[in-house]
Amino acid sequence: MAPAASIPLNLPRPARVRTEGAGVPVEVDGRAIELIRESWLVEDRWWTERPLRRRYWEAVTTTGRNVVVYHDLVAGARGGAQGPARAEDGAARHGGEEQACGGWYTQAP
Amino acid sequence: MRRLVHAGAVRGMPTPPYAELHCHSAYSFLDGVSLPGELVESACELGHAALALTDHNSLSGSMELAQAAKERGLGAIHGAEIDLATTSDCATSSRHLTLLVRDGRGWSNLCRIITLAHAHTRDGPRRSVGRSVGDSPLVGDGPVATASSSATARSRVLGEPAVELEAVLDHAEGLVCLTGCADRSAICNAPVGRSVGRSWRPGRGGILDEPTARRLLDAFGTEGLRVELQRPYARHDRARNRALAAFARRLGVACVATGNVHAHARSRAELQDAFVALRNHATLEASEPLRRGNHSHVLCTPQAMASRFADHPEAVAETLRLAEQLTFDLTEDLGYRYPGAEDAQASRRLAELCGARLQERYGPGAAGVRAQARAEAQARLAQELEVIGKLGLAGFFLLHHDMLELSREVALEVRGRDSVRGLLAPGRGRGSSVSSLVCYLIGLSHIDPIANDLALGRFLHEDLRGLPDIDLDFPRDVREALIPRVHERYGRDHAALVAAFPTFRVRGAIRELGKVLGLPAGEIERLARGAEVHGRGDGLGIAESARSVRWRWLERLVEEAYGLPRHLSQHPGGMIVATKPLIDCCPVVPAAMEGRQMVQWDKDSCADAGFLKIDLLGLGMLSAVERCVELIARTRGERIDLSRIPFDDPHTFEAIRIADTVGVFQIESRAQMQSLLRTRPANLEDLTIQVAIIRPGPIQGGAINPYIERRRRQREDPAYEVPYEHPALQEVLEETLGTIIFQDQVMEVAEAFAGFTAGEADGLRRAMSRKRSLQMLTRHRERFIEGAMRHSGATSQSAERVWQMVEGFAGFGFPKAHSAAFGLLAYQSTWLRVHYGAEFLCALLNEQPMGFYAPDSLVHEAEHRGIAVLGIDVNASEVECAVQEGCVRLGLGYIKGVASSQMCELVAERELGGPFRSFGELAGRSALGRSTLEQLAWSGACEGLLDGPAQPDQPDQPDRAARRTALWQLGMAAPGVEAAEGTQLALPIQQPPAPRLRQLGRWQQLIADYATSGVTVGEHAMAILRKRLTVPMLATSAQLPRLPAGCTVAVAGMVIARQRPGTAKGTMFLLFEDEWGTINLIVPKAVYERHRHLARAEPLLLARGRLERSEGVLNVLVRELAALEDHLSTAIDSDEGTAAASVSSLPSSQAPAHVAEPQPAHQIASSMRAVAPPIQSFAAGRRR
Repeated sequence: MAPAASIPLNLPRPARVRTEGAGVPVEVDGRAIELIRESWLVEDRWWTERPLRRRYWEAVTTTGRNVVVYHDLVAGARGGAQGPARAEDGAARHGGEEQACGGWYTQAP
Repeated sequence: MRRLVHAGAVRGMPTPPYAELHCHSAYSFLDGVSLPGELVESACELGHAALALTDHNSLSGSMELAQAAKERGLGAIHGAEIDLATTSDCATSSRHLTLLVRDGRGWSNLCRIITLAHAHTRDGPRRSVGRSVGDSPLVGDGPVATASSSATARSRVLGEPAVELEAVLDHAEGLVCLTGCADRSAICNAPVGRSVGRSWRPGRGGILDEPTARRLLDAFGTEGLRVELQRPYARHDRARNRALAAFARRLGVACVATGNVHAHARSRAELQDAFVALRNHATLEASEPLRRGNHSHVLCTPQAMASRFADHPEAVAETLRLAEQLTFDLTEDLGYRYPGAEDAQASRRLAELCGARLQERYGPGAAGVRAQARAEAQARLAQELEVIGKLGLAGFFLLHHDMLELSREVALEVRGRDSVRGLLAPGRGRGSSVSSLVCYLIGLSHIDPIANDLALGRFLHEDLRGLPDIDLDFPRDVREALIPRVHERYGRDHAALVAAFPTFRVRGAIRELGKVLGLPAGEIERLARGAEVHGRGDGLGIAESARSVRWRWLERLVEEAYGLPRHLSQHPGGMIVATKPLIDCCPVVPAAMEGRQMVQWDKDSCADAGFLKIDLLGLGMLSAVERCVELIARTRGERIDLSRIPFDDPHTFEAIRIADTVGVFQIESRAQMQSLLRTRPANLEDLTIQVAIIRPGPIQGGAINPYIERRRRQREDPAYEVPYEHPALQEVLEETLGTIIFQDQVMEVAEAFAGFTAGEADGLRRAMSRKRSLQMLTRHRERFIEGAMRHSGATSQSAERVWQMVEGFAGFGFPKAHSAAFGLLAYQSTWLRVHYGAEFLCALLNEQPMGFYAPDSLVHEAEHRGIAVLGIDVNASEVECAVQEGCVRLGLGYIKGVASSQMCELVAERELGGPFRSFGELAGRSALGRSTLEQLAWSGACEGLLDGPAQPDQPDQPDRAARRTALWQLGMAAPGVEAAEGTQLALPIQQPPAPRLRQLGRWQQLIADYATSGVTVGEHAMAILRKRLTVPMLATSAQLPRLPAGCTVAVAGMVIARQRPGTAKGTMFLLFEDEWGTINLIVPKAVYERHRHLARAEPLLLARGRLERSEGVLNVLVRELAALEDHLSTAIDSDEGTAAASVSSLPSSQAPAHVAEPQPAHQIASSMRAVAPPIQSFAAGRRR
């Protein structure tokens, strides 16, 4: 029996993020951010064809929801043309939407 | 209190808002990627006012930091990150603290803490025997010895430095303690005991539990303890820092922000990731949990750090307050003194000692000393003593004299009272100290500086800063015994060896970083073997094969890693002695060899610290000549005193002039031999120049060809006038015909031509010889040009040309005194080789590794000179090589993979019970295991144990089945069995005769020789393969001299040396050996690039090119290179089989028993690649 195809979980999805001057998110998918709890940086896989540079924020929106968003700095640097969610990663691609989001994604905390 | 001002700032500039107090350099060994000097440069550029260096359990980079920071006006703060030993409470984790030095007492305490941390890092089962855990072999009875707790020491991981918390608490004075690093893995949702917060528990990181923190508080006080906040941009940073701030408030201490820096620039950040993987023996992928996850560990501006800690402005401000309190200046406050430095009577004692010796050597009763020399010596001694007195160095010389007297005692013990070696001095000087009359008189030098006209300036002058260098060479065995005796004489806590830091080189970096990147092992090895030894990895040859980004990263990482220290090692022989315990000046750690210890500083740092360094160097050739005179006494009954041999022996100089010098000291290399044919030395003065000439200094300075050409013209026309660039140079460059060959001539030229003072000239020399001072050289240039024009009236063009000659010495050059010492040994070794060839060869073989040629090449060359060399034989060989009836017999010690002790036991058993008569007896009487017996059998050492020839019909032919027969019979013999009480010997059972086995081919026999001993006394590889080569114009080394210059030739051979010195601008030099001798080849850069892999790695080569001849020197200028296997005829010679050396591969019973099995041509090369003797590779020693 052939093995079942793996189902990726908690994939990042493109998000609409508005930022203030220093690049800190102030609104995610239309909801204003009340509080930034944490922010961190991931720089990895630089030795591969697909290096990873992401700036993460864990924030609380005005609705009380905890969200984690990240800015893909590699994609951002290229105008959002290429994000980490490639087909072979099991993630859906959202071509036009990615462009519109400028390399911003949201992920479950 | 230190006032912090931006480095290089002008009045009125604001003080930067942050000082970096936690920074790792490459001296954290694989956890830091920048040199201290690079960190200082970056810190200044980024606007820092102070920088603390806090390497892991190490102060190795501290002096570099201090020197570089002082030069740039940056505040240097010293410290270390100390690992605490694990305890039963915390068995699975380790913790560390950041300690910063406040004052001199703190420095001393930090040195002692680090010394303790390393005290057991070399403990193995052998060293631990008889020593209780917790005893420090290094710190003697000092206060730190009590700090270890045996209960907790048991949980230490051997090899990893770590210290008990109690030891830190006991040495808190003068130190400031930061609670240590952030630790990503410490995050935990479950509260643990009285930890800093509900979501924290102690893990691998800083001190986060309150009980331990309160103990630190008791020891360091509120002014000496800070809670360390870090913001590495990891998830939960802010939460942790909030919890740590609350923790600090409970303790009543301040928080301080740190950056935990590991790189000086963003360009080095990826290398840090690679180093983490390398340190953990993992690939980058597999090491993900261990890496930091981002590149926030790069040094950044104070403003950026202030905004990084926006939540904790008080912790940022605390960095400045703290930095201002840490006032210890390593360049001023060390307080080191050497024994005798403060002896008020030292000058008088030295004068008396020298005066007495002067009478012996130059007095009216001394033989062969002219009145003029006597007067010169008296004046010179007065001058030297005056300089020594002004510099306060009399104690320095007396200490060296004391050391030499100690070595005399040791030498007597090592050599034995009746040995002919007793005629020889215990050691001899090298380096610039040989120019000193004081050194000559008190026995530190064996070269008469008056007779040899040696100038003192390089060694000793009134402007000297620091201490002069005195290097002493000893035979290896004397040196081995001397070093522990020095420890004993001056006290184990007052004497230690100097450290060295092997750095990343291209090949090693390719291998290690390629593995980290997960690249294919075979490809990495191919690339590494083809890479340059020199250079930073430019042009690794990756570009053409790079198909993935990983290969491009390899090239970049190799470039970045090149030159960074890889690990701590030991200087070849530099020793430090001190009046106060050394562990108050610098951490002392165990060396690899038991009974030895070393400071954590290299020679440059020791020199900057003003440490007295005595170089006790082991010189292989000194050992070899001593062995040789001992052998001569034993075999011929002649007692030779090498200081009294004739120094104008025509046979010796004739051998030197025709470059018949393989194996002798210094003048045996390919380049030296070619040079000898052109310079034609006729006396010791010529040899002094000769040993100095093939060095990067004279080569880069353009001295060689002018010197050789002028020498030739002088030979042909005694009236020839040597041209000098300027009349002011004539006096100082007369003996080297207007060229700069000796290092001291650089100083003399600077003084005579550019008007430098002796101190300035020495500064120039130092700038040229120290890697870290290359930039300083450019500053000397302007001073030189300006000085030459003003002082000598030279034109700017002429001054510039002379500077070019001087600057060439930025490479390496010998001082004349050193050359004189080495030239003498070159002559003595040649004299022994000429008159006692067998004994000299035997001594060389027993002192390996040393010199330019592998033992195999030495043997072949000796055979060409008519010296018979006999193979290894279990019934005739000693453990070492020996001279037997005029022949050299290879020793059992040459068998690879066999412990010397086993061979000693075998020889002892043979001497006790008589020769072995059969394999059964060999296996029964010796305690050798099966693998050792098989190795002996396959080497041919057991052929004498066979019953009669295997081919009764051809009794006169060599028995090529003998090794197989021996292996067969060993298969039937039962070797000894290891048991608890030792080896249970086998019964000597008579073995049944072996069946007729297939013969070994000639090639197989050669490969077996190389595989088992690395030496063959049988046929040369080329003698076996020659008939199969069908190449037009193929010439042997014997035919080349008879061919016309300019003709096209092909030559084939085994590569025995390949050199591509940095001075050759891409040209490679190869040395082939064939069955008749050697062939020199020059591979131009373009040809080398085309055949790079062949040139660098292939043991058997075919080359085509043009034969060049000049002044008796023959070279083949290569146009094409090829692997020899590509030109072997496909016709199979059944006499050259290549089967593996195992019983299982013996032929089946159906095969004709007396015929060697056939083999394809490609196996010829592959079998040789696996076993080829190591070859000389320029500046990298011998390697495969």
